[in-house]
Amino acid sequence: MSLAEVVIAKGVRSLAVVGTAKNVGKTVTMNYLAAELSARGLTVGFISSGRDGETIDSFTGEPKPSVVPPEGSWVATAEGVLVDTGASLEIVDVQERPGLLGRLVLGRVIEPSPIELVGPTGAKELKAVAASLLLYGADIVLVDGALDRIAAASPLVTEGLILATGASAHDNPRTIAQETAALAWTWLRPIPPDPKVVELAGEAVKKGRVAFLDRGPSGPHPTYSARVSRYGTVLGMEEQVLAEAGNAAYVAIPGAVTSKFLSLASSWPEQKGLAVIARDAASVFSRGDPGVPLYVLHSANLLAITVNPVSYRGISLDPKQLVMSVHRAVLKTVGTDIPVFDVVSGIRSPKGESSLAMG
Amino acid sequence: MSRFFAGESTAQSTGFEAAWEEIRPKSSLGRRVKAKERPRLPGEEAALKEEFHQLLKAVSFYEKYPEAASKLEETLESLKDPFHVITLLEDKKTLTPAELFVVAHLAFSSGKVRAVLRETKDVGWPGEVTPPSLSSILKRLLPGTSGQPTFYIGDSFSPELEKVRAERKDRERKWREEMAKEALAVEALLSRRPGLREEIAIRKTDSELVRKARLMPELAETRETLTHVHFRLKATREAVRLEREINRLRQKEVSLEEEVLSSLSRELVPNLGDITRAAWALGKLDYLLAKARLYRSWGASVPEILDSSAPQVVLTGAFHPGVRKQVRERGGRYQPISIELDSTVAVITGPNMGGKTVALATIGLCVSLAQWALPVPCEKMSFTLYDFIYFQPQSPGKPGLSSFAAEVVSLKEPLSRSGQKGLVLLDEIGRGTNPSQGLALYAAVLQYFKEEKNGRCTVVATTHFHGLPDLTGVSHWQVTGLCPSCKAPVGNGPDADSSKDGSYGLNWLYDHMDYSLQRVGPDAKTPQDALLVARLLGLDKEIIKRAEKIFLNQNVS
Repeated sequence: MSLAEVVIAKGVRSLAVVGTAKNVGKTVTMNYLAAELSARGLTVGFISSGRDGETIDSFTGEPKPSVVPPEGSWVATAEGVLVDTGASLEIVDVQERPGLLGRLVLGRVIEPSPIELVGPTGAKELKAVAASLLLYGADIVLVDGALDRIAAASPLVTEGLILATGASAHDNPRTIAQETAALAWTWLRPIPPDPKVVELAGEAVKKGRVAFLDRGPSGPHPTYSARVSRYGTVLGMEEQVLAEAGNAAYVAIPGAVTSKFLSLASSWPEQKGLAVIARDAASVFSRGDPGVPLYVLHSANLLAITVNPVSYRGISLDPKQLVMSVHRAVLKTVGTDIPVFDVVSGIRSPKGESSLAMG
Repeated sequence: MSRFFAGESTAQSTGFEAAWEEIRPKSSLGRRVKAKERPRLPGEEAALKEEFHQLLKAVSFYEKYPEAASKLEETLESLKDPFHVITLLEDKKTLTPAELFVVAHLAFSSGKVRAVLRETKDVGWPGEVTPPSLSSILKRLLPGTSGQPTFYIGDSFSPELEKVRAERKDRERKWREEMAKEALAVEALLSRRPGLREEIAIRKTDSELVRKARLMPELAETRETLTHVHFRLKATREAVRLEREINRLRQKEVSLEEEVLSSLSRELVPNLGDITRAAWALGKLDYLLAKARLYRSWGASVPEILDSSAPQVVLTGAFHPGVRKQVRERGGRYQPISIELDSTVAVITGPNMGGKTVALATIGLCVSLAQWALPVPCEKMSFTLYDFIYFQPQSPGKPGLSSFAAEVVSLKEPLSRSGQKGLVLLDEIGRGTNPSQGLALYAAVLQYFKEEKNGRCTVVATTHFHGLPDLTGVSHWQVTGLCPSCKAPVGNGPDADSSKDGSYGLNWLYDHMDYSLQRVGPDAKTPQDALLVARLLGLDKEIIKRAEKIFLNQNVS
């Protein structure tokens, strides 16, 4: 199964492509995916969470690859970056709310040409723009994201996620594999098994308050009650929040779940077995298993991982070795078979098939 | 706004600011019109009457044509603000495709709005909310469009552009064919086809293939990994020639596109007047409809404007929307008030929790809304226009000043403007100092306003001071209050003691208080209900008993 087929099989209508570092081949993945999806008769929409930095590579001075949306696809980008490419778009809407580079312009691609994507950074706005593109006729919307522009990957915005990683993140394939596996672990956090816990945690998160969920007397069907704290965040209040946890089974956190909080929670002497519930993986600012059970209210749908074996520093890793070691590390860490691709060489992890020439 | 609303907090304390926020135009054009609004002042009665006449027309439109109304709202909601584009055109600048789209969209929306206004012409739409026809602009910018407006520099704008584009596309096709030929040659020799980015990777262990590839003029070696050698297709001489030609044509195309944008922009300049008029008309329509929606959601009315020079306000069934909402949310019943302010000074007395402050705010709110040509929250209202409104809130709250000092400082403004026609609403002046001097000060202020030379203000003053109406010889209104036959809960049974937080007593008060205002004689007794209210609110029984004893002794001595 190719990357496009994986995406089609999952039936997602919006997909975040998130780069774990610069030059990890996110744009190449987006272009490849768009071409493959178009070739299968799907109309693709493109937006970006914020702006993807510079158009010239700051390391090499070479122009960075641009997204080239296929003919007939839908694009949303800022008025300010359309100066050169505006002529290839049939403009269908100019949204009133101005962003950093002017208003957001929605259009249909008349002729494929490189385009810079600049979009809203907020989850709510991104979701609304993605919905607009679907309404205009896109079958699937690709959202360009990065770990520092993570709103794109929130399950509240997109239905699926592809992580793009590669040699630019590290020189050593093993380090890349371990880091990617740690990221995948975070992005595959499950929803708490008890529906009552989900309900109580959901209410607290909606109210914007940290809440402790206490387990009632043990029995065949455990009961839970919520103790809503006065804290709106754990950021900078990690110790105070944990000091109030008492014998809680869970703590539900509305905003950022900091790595300090998770690390303190795993070693807090008075509190053993406290499980943490975050809104979604995008709010977890920690990579890998922190040593405490970590759940999310909205689980992400990690569809695939792409790797780029070439880095700007001239490192050229063996694509097959990189694909295999990332796949093995993810499987070992999270126990899930997440397909891994190098879209340039066409190599993919086992079970898949190569769509491009490779000796 | 500041000159009309005297005192820093008048607009907020009367509830005007909250009501203003409830006027929600659908478009930024409507919000522009709203932002430019100002109150109508004495001398502008005729204009204000016409505005209320228009408001009633818009209200009737909602009632008679609900479907057309939602269609119109949808169009207004999708409007794009064209004022940036208008400025660019005024400066004779060339518009970008996105800016031309905004103009096309305005022309399209104007057409849609004109159609709805035409279908509902019996409403009697005022001319200023009807946008002029921009159909010629629409035809020019969107040739052959019938559905949603879109903008693209299509071939139809320039035959030369069409020709250059066709040539460029032809060269691109040829270039692709040329490269495909090369790829085929590679495939024939190496048995595999170059993939993404025209790249091919060959495993090093296949040294023969690597050698062959290195010898092929069609391939250039790009990089080598531990296991693979990567090659990329090299452009042939013909492909390079085609690339150069494509670039030349592309540059020509860009300059022709710029010419199209520039000529379209130039053509729009003579239509600037109509574009601007359409933008303002749509904004005014949007704002008018927003007012009509508020009228309907409140169950409001429009006032009768009196031309008399003597100040006057008559309110029947007036309510304060903010307070009414709170009362309804707690499941209570809201009681509107009626009052006739036909003399220069009126005093309102009444029990604690009797709604005196709300009555003042309601009067201030109705008059200020009316002067802003907005729906008024009452059954009926007639009034004369004022130069300013002042509302002295109970807690002016200024840092570094006691409540009495802040009150005195704040009072200076309406006193300095007493020569103008003002509506002055005073809420228990002097309550923050000793009662005898407080009463004396309050009486002096009222007498000052009442004196003939200063007598252009309507003053409404609330108080608990007994004798204030008598001292000043002004008309006296009283909150009807707790009905004498209603027995306040005492002793056994469900009484105030049964709820420590006083919520039972509070609800009892809400249920038994008659908030209506009655005109009484100047010497009518000021209600003495403070201790009853304190008891109902759950204050310690012992303290209430002591207070009653002290009060009784005072009155005997």
